[in-house]
Amino acid sequence: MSIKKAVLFPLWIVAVGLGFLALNSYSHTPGEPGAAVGAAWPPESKLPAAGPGRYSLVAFIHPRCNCSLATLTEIGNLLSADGDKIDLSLVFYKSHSDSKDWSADRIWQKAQLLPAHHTLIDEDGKEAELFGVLTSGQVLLFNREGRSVFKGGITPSRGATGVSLGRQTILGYLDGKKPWNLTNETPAFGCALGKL
Amino acid sequence: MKSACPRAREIFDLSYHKIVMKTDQMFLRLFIVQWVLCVAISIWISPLTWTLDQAAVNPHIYFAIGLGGLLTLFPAFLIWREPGAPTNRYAVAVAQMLFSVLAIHLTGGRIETHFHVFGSLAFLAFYRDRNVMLVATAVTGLSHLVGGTFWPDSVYADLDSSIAHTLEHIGWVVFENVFLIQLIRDSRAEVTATAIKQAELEQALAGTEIQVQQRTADLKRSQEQLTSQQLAMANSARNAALGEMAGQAAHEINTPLGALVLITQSLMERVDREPVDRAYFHTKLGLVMQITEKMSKIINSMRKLAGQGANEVVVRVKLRPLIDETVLLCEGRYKRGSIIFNIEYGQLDTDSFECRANEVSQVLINLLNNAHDAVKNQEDLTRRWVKLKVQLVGELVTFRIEDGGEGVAPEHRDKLFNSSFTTKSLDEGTGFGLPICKKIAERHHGRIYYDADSKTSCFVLELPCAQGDAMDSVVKVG
Repeated sequence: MSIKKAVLFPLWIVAVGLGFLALNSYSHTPGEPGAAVGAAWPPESKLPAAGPGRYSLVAFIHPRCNCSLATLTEIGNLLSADGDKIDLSLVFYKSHSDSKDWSADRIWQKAQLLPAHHTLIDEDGKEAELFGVLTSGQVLLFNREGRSVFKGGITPSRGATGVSLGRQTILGYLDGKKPWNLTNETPAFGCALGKL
Repeated sequence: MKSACPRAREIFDLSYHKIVMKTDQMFLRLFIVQWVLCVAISIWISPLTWTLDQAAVNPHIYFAIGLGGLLTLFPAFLIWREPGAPTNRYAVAVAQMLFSVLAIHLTGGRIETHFHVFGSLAFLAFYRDRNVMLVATAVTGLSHLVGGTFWPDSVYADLDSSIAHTLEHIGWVVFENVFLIQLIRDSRAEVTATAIKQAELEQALAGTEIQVQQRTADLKRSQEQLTSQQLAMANSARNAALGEMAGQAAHEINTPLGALVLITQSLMERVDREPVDRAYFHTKLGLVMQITEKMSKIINSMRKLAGQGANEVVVRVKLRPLIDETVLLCEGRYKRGSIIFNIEYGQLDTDSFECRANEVSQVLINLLNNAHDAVKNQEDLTRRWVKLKVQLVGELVTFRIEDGGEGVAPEHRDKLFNSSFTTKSLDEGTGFGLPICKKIAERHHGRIYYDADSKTSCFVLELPCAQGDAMDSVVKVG
């Protein structure tokens, strides 16, 4: 190998390595977490509160955030596991200037496939603001007393499905045996629904 | 490749270099396709990211362009700079396996995308280099170990992935490599065997080449010897003809010499006996003059025939004088044998005939002598005749020598022009006369044959008036 190649080859490897590092770093960089977990159900919300003795699961979705497709998939998994214990609400962000029809979009279509849930179109993100949510894909779990016990993402990374800390935590709450090593807040990977 | 034969090694290297060059080119195209596909997948999965209602290009697209470009362009650069170099295939192996990593990441760790790894290994096996496979396996193993440890969701779409999961993936890669490396070993063995066979074949061919060269040299020597012998034969035949002519000439000269002596004696006695009768003397001396002129012609013809060797050049001559001079050497013989000899000239509207004059004379003498021998012993005197017909047909001069003999027996006709074949007795024929005549005819771009269709025994000599390629050496003779 010539001296030029002997220099270029490692340089190339380093450049590629740095590229992959940056890619992974971006893919695992969560959106803004927003308000802390533990808040009560905001009384100004237009969303219906959970029925007696039931958990409320509220998911905030940007209708054009493809990463949130993975969130909808994971919600489907949660419903399959413990759907009888929760009332699901899907909150779709909509700008007042947005006149586009979403009905043909993949995300909207996928959301409509989920069983018994309430859908709310969130004009200019007012509901997201009430719940302190800043990132699409953030999910809040309210307990039977109407207090949030979990807030965060339920996908392992940007646009990825599979086992995640958020999903495990919610399932732990629904089963009434939250494991000690789980957390109340997890990072969410998606588009921004507001600014700090 | 391990081989004692350097040529086999050389052939193997050449074949292997071609394989590597071809595979390099294949990967160049594959890289471009993969690069485009990675960008396309990124765009399809998520082209934009949003902040409320503000859209921006998804950074994944930039990563697909940037990383895909890095993985494509560096190996492409190496291949362009030094096609077929060993470094190229190691760079290709690293890049190809990292393309798998990129594709897996961009598709969110989909298990289906992991098949890209197995496809890539199969493609890399085209290099028929075990070390390339080891490099590819190492890159895959390392990327799974690092990715599986720090970002398992990006590799397996599963945060709960364990080291066992990574080892399982690496195990499948090793499993495939076992077969691919065996395949590579077999393939190299085949190329090696072909190289050894080709080297052996080349060696055999080289031996044959030397043999061919030796035999060609032997053949050339033989041909030279044959030519030399043929030349000697030609000279021998010519000398034989000359000897015969010399005998005839001596006879021709001896007879008039006797006449000259008698005339001279008669004149001397008459001078001593009586006064000089001028008219008588004039008549007798005129006779002497005629006799000496004829003797002079005979001697001149002999001198001409004897004067040229094998290197005679083409000359431009008048046809009739050439025939007359030639016939002069034979006609005495015919007279002595009481053989009627005629010459028939057809329409000869040319006085320009290109030939080696003495060679043509030699052929005519030979044919006329043969005709003489064929009829000399005929008891039926009406059959003692020989005729020479000369005519010009187009650009061809035809000499037909006919005689009243029995002709050539059918079983002898095919062998007439073969060397050493003769129907004459040993002291009369050498068997070289007609073959030499044939050679002379061919040398003049003409031909000589026995005319089996003729009612009488007849040999034909056909010669073109012009000698074409020999024209440079043509000498005009008045």
